[in-house]
Amino acid sequence: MLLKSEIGLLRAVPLFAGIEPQRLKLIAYTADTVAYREGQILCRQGETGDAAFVIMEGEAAVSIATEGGDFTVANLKNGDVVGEISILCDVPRTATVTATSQLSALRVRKEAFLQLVRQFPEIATEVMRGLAERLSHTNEELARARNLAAGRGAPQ
Amino acid sequence: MSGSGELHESIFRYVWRHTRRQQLWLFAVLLVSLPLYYLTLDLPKRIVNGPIQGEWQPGETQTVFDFAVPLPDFLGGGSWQVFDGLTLDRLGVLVALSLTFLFFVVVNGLFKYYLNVYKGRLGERLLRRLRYQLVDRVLRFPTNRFKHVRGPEIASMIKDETEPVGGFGGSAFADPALLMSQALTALVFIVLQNFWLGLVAGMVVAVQIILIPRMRRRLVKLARARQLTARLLSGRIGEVVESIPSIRTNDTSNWERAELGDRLGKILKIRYDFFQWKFFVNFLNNLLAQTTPFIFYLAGGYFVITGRLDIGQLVAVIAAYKDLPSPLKELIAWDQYRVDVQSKYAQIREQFVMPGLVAPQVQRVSFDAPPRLDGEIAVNGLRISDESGNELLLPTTLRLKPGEAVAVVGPLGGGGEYLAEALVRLAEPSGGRIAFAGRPLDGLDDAFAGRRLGYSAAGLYLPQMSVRDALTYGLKHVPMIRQKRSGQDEATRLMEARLAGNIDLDIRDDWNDYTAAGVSEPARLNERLAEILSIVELKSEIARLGLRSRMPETVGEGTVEEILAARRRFRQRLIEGGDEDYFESFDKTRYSDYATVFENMVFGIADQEAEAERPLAARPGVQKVLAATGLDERLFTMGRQIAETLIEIFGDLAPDNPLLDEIDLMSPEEVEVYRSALRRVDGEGKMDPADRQAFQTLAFGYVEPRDRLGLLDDDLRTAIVAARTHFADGLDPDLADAVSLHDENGVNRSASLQDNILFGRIVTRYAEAPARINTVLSETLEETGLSGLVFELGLAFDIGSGAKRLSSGQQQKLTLARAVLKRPDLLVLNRPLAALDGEAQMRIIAAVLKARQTLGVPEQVVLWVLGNPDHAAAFDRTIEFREGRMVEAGNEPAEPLELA
Repeated sequence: MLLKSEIGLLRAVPLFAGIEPQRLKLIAYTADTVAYREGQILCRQGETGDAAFVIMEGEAAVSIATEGGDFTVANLKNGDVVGEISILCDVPRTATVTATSQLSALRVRKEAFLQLVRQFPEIATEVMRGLAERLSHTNEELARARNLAAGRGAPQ
Repeated sequence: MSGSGELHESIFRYVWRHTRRQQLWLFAVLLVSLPLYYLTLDLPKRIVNGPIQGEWQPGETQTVFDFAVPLPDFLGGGSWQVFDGLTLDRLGVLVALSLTFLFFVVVNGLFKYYLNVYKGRLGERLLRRLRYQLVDRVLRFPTNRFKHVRGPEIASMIKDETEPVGGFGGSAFADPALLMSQALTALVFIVLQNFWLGLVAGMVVAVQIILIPRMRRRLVKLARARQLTARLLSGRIGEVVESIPSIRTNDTSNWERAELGDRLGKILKIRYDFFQWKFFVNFLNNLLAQTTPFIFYLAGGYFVITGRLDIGQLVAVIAAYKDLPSPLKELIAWDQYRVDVQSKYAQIREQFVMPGLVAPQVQRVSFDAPPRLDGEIAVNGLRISDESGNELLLPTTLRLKPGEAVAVVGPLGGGGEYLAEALVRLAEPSGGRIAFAGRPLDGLDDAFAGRRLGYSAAGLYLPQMSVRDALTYGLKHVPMIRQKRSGQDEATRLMEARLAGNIDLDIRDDWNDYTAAGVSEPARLNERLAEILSIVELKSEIARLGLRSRMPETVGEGTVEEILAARRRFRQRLIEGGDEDYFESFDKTRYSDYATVFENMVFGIADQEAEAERPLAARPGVQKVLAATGLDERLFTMGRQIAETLIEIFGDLAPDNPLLDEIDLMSPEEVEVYRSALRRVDGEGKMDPADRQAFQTLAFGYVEPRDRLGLLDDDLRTAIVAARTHFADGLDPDLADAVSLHDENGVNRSASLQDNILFGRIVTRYAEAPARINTVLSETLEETGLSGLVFELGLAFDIGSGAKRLSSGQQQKLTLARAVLKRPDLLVLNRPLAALDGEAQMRIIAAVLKARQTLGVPEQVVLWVLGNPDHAAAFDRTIEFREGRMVEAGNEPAEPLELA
């Protein structure tokens, strides 16, 4: 995959949507393209993370190991970003990401990602927005789960 | 050994002690040469007074060379005519005498030559002996001594300072004897010709001999100061090299510069002083020597004019005097040399003569394997203190039973490490004793301590050698398998070694003690090494070093075939596993996406160092092909596009922005260079070839899947592949050392073994590819039996000075492996794996303890000083040291503690 098409795809990613083209090129250039076969693992829960991924083509499943077995929490498709939490807060991977089809992704290494966030406030804001959205989504999920647990059932 | 190893207080006694016989021989030769020397002085007189100036009647003849020996009275008196002589006319006499003169000149010269060679050899042997003795003493220094010495200073003493001392050996006795006799001969000759002239000459000589050496004493003092400052300088330079990390991290380079500059200043001052004084003394000496001829001309001329001296005599006196200053000068120089050498010798001696040297007996060569330790190790009231008397280990008593594994825990400096050092005699006990099966440790030879005990600690120094030599270092006590050597070379080697008092064991023999390593024959040693390296978890790392190292020059045809077979097998395996898209093989007819443009163009690899020396694009061999194929312009354009894109992306970042390090094709400093080059090229001005080549260099490094600028199309790929034919027929001389070509049916000797087996590039786009290729590669190696070669190459890997080419963890594993390999009866390990993480340490501890069974030494005692008390679980018992005191000797119910 070439830089040009990567930039085109990146522009479609919400995280990078607001970023000027010049910076997008920088992001794309400092990243690697990586390919996975179906069933291969992008990152594994509990391992230390060294990169974030932007899915360029193909699909992946995010799963969390629970006592009752693996539990898929999300499915990723083109343009989704995954793995940035562990490189932002230096915690082990919080979930396992498995390719569910032939998959190609942009792999942004930890150092480069942190440099980008540090040097370009517009990127930092976008990352923050993405995380905030995810948090509010999680909160909703939590509220729903609580309601379920309280036996009142999900709101219609 | 002990007698000859002594360094006598006086250099003369030292030289005499070791070269007595040769010195006597020198005297004898000198004695024979003296009459000849006298004759060369006497003949000129006879030539001038005889045929040249004498009163000759026409037709008169003279008898020359008649030789008669006067007989004593008891043989009837009279004389015995040995040779009647030749009767010759005036011209004949001149020719005969002149030829005789020439003959004696030649004979004299030959004597001189013989004596010089003999003296030189004598000196060299003495130098070898002295250096050897000093080295021997370093090996026998008491352990504490090493806290005070600086390596480079010792080296400078042994290497540089001994040099004049050794050379002195040849001239210690012979030179003064020769020069004195020559000077005396000349003087006596002059006196015989004319008493008064002789007296004048004698007086001047006396002044020279007495005055000049006195003046030169000052020179000796200066020379000594010079020697000391130079020695300290070597020491300091050594320290600077060792402390580069501290210098860089503290910005003290200028402090170091000032400090070294100050030293150099002092040296300059001393040297300058030295030269000034030296030339002044020389001036005085020459002046004295040259006033004498003035007296000869004046007084001698007067004597000739008044008829009290014939002219032949004056010429002979002057000729004899010409010969006087040079022996005299040399004699004075010799005296100077003597004083200098005496002071140097005394200084060297001071550093090498000390109490507490290890007795030579302790380190004697022993071909017998020492008996195994068959009993317990008893430590009784062992006490260790440092030099200022601080107690490092309070009286400690303990027993170690055969086969026991003991963990020693406690804080750093708690005392356990001193116990460990004392057990292998690295620390001197200040009280108490250690006994091995009833034999006290201090009475044991190194042959026992060095073979029956094993030791490893973090930070043991490893000199530059191969991994194999570093591993087997603990097996090299004596040459075990000696090669039969004969012939002249070997005889000379042995004779010279013995004449200089050196050890005569041959370093070329096989010194490995295979029995100690527990292998039956040399061929099986590799297996054992592999086993030991697996125990310390170093085997795969060594194999990786082997894979990455260049192919050795000596690889035979058979091995090449094996490598090619492995290459084929690797491909089959990839296909069988369905992984062929993870790898891209080199193919002479196809463009390799994961190789650079340059690598594709030459179908080979470029040497990084050669590129740094002179860019490949600047080499005529490359330019020629670029021009011939039309790639010249296309690659220039491509380089320009790369530069434009990169500068567009990175150009507005500050030069120190870490993101600039993300560019593979350009270094951060080059960004500016290319920016201005682009400006020049856009200016449509005259194209500078250097700019053109700079852009081509950029294109040469381009790898499409990595750089993703979309600059390669099929047409360009085809053109690049087509250029290969220009290189295939042989490289131009300017490329021969910079490029090595791929060979589909052979190996590339400049490439690593790994690259030769893979013969292609990993498709790194696939995240799993590198790991998978690695696995397939190791499987291939196992299957094809090449892992033996890989391991062999790994063992041959040069670990670098101070083992700096290995990580500190690898160094620690290596020294541990070395200690395990020799299968000692007592294995003392002093925090040997400090650089590894806890889990790895734990695994290796377990493996080392378990290995006692597999290595056939179940009775081995292990005393392991642990950095982390959690690791003690694997041991039979645990001893804890705190503040020098043994506070707990757990798991040992039966043994009562006796703290003395």
